[in-house]
Amino acid sequence: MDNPDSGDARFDSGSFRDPASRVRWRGDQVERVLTAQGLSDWTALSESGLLEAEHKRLIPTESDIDDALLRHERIPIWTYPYEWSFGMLKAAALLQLELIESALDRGLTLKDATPYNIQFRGVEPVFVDIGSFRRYEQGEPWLAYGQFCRLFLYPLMVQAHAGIPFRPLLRGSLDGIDPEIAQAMLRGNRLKSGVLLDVVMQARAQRKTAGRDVRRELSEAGFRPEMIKANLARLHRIVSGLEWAPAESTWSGYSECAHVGTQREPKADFVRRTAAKKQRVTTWDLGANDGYFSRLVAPHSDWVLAADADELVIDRLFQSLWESETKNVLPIVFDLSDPSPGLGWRGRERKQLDGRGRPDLVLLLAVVHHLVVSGNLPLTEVIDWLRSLSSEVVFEWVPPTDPMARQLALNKRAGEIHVDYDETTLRQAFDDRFDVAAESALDGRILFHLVPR
Amino acid sequence: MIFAYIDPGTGSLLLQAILGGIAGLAVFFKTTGRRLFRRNKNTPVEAETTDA
Repeated sequence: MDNPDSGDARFDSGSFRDPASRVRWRGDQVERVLTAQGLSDWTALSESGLLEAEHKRLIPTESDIDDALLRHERIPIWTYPYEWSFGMLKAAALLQLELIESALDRGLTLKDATPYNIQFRGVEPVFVDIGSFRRYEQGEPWLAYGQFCRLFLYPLMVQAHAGIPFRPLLRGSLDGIDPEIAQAMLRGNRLKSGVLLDVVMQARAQRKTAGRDVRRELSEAGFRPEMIKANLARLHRIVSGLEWAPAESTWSGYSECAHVGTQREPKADFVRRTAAKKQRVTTWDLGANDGYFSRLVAPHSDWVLAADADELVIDRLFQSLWESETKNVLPIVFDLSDPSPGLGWRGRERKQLDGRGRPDLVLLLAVVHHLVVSGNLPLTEVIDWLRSLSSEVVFEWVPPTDPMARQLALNKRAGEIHVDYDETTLRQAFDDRFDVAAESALDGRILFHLVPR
Repeated sequence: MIFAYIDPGTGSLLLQAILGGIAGLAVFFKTTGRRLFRRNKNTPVEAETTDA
């Protein structure tokens, strides 16, 4: 954990690339430590008027100039682009482009252009790397254009044009997609907007111009910020036009299934009662599907993480939350049986989900049979993992005799599912780890409110 | 001083002149970027001796 409760400050393991500004934790407080260069960049930013003009899209920040420190508002739930749906990465890309334009208008630019500088508060993207702003130097190009392509544009393009999901690609490389690889994936799409210039030409330029001081060349040839703006406007048009909208996926029709309809109301009652017992800071709804239960608990939790492995389901939830009044639900694409690992330098630059903050309440509704039957996880193992989160849990027990569990087991032979998948084992596993605060039987299934011991 | 802690990639920088509209094109053809359009694809820029 990088946010220990102790008063000692500790650098965040994901913040080391920019020598001018590093993030550290002091208890729950997020601080940014500035060098002389970083302080000069901050002065330029704070005098530019950008903080006021873009205050809704920038992380709220206070400065302590004497100590060369910035203090940022804490982001409630930290997520990464390889957990976002298409619509989320697109929203982040547009925010990034608009911020650079806004910065140029005030004589500033941004050092980098990476989705890791953007976080979501609910469905609202917020730019968090205040250290990325610095003065624009006359004649310089947009240095982060290539990075923008690798981490925003190509991922969106390959998913929109070629149907290749970007998440495994971004999880596979924190630097994003190389132009040559994007070119290979976009073969047959050269006529689509931007592919020829941003992908094919960039791949060619990368091969042919290595080792030149092109910044000096460009500056001497008369490069001007208007040229960056023309490029930004062009990229904004391209990104706005990218769409990914498959008609259906494995789980996209889930809420219309007959068993879901009949079980929802009594289940909702139990969940609502448990959630309403007290106001919580963070609730995780794991296996959230269309977000029905996330919305249900939203009034009783400051923030709700709605996680589901199906991207289409999450993308639709993102769009529907965008248009709704519920502003504290954050949807992510997340597979419990294959969770985001620690990545980057020492495996700590990007953290596992539970290393970024713990929930106060977890909903695990109609999920256990997927983990045990489809994922072949031993039941005790699942309960043990739940306990490791140290939070209260609303757990729905789906017995092996349940029609849905049977359906998942259709193509499994006897002996191919762990023998511990039964209610006796479940209750034994609870005994050592949780107190059962409430339980309610429901058509063969059982709802539990678990409190960690 | 231009400060960059990310490697901006030489090619992507040159390309920006082309992407910067008509005025940008004029800038582009004043740089070594114009060689991107030369036919002998296999000659790397570094190997050429005549500089503008």
